[in-house]
Amino acid sequence: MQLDAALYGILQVLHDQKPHALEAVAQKAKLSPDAVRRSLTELEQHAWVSVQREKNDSFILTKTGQQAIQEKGLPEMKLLELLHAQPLELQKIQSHFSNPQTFSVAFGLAKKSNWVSIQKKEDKTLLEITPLGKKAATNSPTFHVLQAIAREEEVEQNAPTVIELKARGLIESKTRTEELMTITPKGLEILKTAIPISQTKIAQLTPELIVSGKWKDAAFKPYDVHLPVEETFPGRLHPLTHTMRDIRRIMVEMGFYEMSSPLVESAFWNMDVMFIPQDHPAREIQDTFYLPGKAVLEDAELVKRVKATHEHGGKSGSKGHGYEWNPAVGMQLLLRTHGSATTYRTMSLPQKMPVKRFSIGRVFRNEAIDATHLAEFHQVDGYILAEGMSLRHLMGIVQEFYAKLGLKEIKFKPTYNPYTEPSMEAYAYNPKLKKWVELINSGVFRPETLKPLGINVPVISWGLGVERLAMLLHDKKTTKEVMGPEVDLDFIRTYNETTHTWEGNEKLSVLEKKLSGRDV
Amino acid sequence: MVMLETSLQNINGYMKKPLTITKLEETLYQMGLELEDANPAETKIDITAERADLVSTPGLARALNAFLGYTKGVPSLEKKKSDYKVILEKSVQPVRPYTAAFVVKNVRLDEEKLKEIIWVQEKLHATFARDRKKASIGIYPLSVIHWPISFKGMKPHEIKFQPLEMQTTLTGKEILEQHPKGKKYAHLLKDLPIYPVFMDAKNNVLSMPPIINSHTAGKVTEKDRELFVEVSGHYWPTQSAICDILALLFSDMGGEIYEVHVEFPERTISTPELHMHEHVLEVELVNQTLGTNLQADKIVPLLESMMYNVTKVNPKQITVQHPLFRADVLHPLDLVDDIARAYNYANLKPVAPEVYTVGGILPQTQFEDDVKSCLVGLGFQEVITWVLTSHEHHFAAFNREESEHVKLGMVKEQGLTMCRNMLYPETMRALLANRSKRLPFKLFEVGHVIVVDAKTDTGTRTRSKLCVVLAHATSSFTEMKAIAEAIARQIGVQATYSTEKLPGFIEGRTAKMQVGKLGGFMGEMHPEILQRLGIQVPVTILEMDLE
Repeated sequence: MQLDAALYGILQVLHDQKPHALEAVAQKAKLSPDAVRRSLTELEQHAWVSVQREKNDSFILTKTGQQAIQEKGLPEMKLLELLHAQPLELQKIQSHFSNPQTFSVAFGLAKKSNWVSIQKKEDKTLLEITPLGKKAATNSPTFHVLQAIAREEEVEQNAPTVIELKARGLIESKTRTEELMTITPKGLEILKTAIPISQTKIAQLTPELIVSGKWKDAAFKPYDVHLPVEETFPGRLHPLTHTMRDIRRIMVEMGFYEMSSPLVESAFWNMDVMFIPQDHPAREIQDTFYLPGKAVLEDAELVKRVKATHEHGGKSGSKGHGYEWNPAVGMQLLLRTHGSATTYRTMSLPQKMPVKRFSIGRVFRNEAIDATHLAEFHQVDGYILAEGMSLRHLMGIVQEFYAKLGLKEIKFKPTYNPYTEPSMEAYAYNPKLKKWVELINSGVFRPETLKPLGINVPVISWGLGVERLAMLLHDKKTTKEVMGPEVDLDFIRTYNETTHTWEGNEKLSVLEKKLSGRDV
Repeated sequence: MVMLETSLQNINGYMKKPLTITKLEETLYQMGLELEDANPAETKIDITAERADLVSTPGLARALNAFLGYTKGVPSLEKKKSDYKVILEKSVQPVRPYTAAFVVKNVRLDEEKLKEIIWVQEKLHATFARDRKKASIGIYPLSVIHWPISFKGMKPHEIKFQPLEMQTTLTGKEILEQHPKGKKYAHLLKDLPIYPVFMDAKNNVLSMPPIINSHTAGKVTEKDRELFVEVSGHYWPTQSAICDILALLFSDMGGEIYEVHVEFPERTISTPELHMHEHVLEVELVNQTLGTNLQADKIVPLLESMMYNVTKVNPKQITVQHPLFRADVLHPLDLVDDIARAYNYANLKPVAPEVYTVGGILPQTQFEDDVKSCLVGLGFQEVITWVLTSHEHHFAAFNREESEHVKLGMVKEQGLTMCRNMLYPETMRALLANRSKRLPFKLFEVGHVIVVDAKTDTGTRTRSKLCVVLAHATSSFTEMKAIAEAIARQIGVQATYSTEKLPGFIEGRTAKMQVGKLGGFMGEMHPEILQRLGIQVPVTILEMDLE
């Protein structure tokens, strides 16, 4: 059978059936003692090796002890050596010791053992070596023991010298476990038939292993396929972008060409051209972000026509609002409040009928932000400028749009907008929530808004808020969950296009529809 | 939008035939109004902004009666003759030049009706009268008045009376400073040299419009069966309209309406005027707009059910009359709108427009899509952040010097002071909001910034930009440069780089770049900023123009 090379090596060393110390085994098997210890667990488990563990107290040198060995003598011997020739002044002796602590230990010991005598001459203190001291200088049994310990020889634990050395902090005791390993009969049997294989199991196949051919000697470490791994996230578009792209696709499929306009507008284009009277509540700072500065109203003739229309209807056939229209109010700068600003800017450019245009862009409302209101959000706006458009055609295009979103049941309700007449709200039945939702606002543009632009046919227009639709599609309850920096990054990372559908609708999901190409 | 709070019982009190809540809901839907709360005891109905005449239970009931065919045409109102006079003196002309008024007799007021009157007064003030700016309404018990009434302008300190709800006599000026209504509407009077006052023949102050009635004129209570109603202001059509609406209201409540002669310096008018406006409606316009094929004789009943009078009919034209307070009818198309409601939108069959046009997206949009696809392919997630921000965050937080930008005026949401002129400080908000999520952060944003540009009509320009944010333990300039190269290749141009010092970025690890005609920069964010913002990994930024 195949056996790990390390285990094989150890068993081989032990094959004489004699007990061997672990360190010795390690040396002979050319392994580190730690490696042997690791393998020992396995060997014991298989019952191929038996182990006898003995606790052994031994001593090792401390740092100070090592220092003494290096200096070839204990501090007190140094002291005696200094006094060998003649008595010396205490101060002078002290100066030979770099560590005053060491000196006081040496001096204390020397005094106690009567190796020195102290004399006072005049003001000085003199130390003189005694005959006892002379003998001790050359023969320090304590030092001999220290040297023995340094050589890792065994010493008697309770010997006074050992105790002294311990007390002086020159040695410390260490408990060692000695392992004696002996092969078992089972182990012997295994050894007879075993074939050693390379010790390393490959965790990662490397180019070096491939090229060198060393992979042949190796085994692959198996993985546990059930273990969880760290998440990895694909690059993704924002879920709101997906919604906007779906809307874009629908518009383009219906023959609408995109239009755009800047985010900063003049009140003239955002409201006045749309026949919203200058004292209308929606124009107040409550709802609109006004900016400092003034716009230039480039087309003076258009300004005149709009003024006339507001005041008495101009050439539109209307009574007008009947107040004095102030161009200064029109010159106010603001952040556009609706996508209709783009529509009117575009309609004012020379166009040849028929025209179908749409925009998807950001609009701004000066509101306190809460669960259902944002200061910035996206609107879709579309219009049709063609001969013969009527309210029924508006209903037709809105119905078509809802159908492409997968909402087939719809109903219309009259409503009011200052710039469309008639106006409509379109409700669709949401099978997921089992209720009617109103997403689309629409109408026929008022002639007061079209006549100054030179347009003499009815223009139908409709729009919706992107975030509201996105919230329905992605099952979110608040607008901040689909728009803005606080949108959960994990939602963006894991957003799944196939969830972008209405449940309970027997028709295909949006994605399936796209793939099958079927007109549902 | 005004919410009318009433009850089914209250409504049915004015109906020719009682309604169930279901029938009410259906009818309102068809008319274009909305039943917000279907609780018969506390019914809430959303009235659209253009119909000030419907903001009362009798007013709504009037419309319902006509719509359901129980009545027909313009609601009639009998104006009885009288000698009541209000003299508009020259002195008041500069400040409050017009007034329209009438007297009501034999009206039985109960708690419900009083509530209704106060409600209507409030709503008309708020909407039609633009928060008392255009006009204000005063209602007084007739009994305390000595005729004729004078409407005059007086110096603020010369006006002295005890206002309603106060115990002491105050001057005009003091009322603006001390009375709750005075303080609220002070802005309408305080800059004028004279204030208007209604005084009766015995020189008792009746009121100081648009602020408050006097204590002697008193409040209207359930016991009063005769009232004096006036509407004063700056704009005659609005006041006359409000006066007519109120007259109708009191008439519906069972009162008799008596004229008041308003003596202007040049002429005398009898109010309520009850003027009608006439339109000639082309039958063709109706059918063109709605997509129908209705004959004139079919259109007439539809108009009458929407409270219009038809005075002349021929197959091509219908002459229509409506009261002046239908201020929303400016163009014959407004009549068409009402015809459609009466006809019922549910009866209009949708038809697909047969208009051949070729659809498409703008080249800029396509370009942005390509850039986005490149980044998604490189494993980045798209974020969308706000255009509006604060100076503190947009400049100071990133050690940026204030550069030319567009400031905001008055703002409701605290903390918004400007429009962004750079993308990365705002894209970084997405990182900051999601900092507890798993690394690495590989984010990008394609968005608009607003820059100052004197050459445009608004003095600003909206520009499309790309921002890429790389944040993980080993994010670096080198890694970002590889991304810049990938983008440049996608666009099909060469990118060139030059060392640049940018505040907020590590010196020596920042570069300006030129990707074809598009400029940009990239760099490793300075740790001072990272530490301040509580970010624990290095962040590398790339930002470039996309147009």
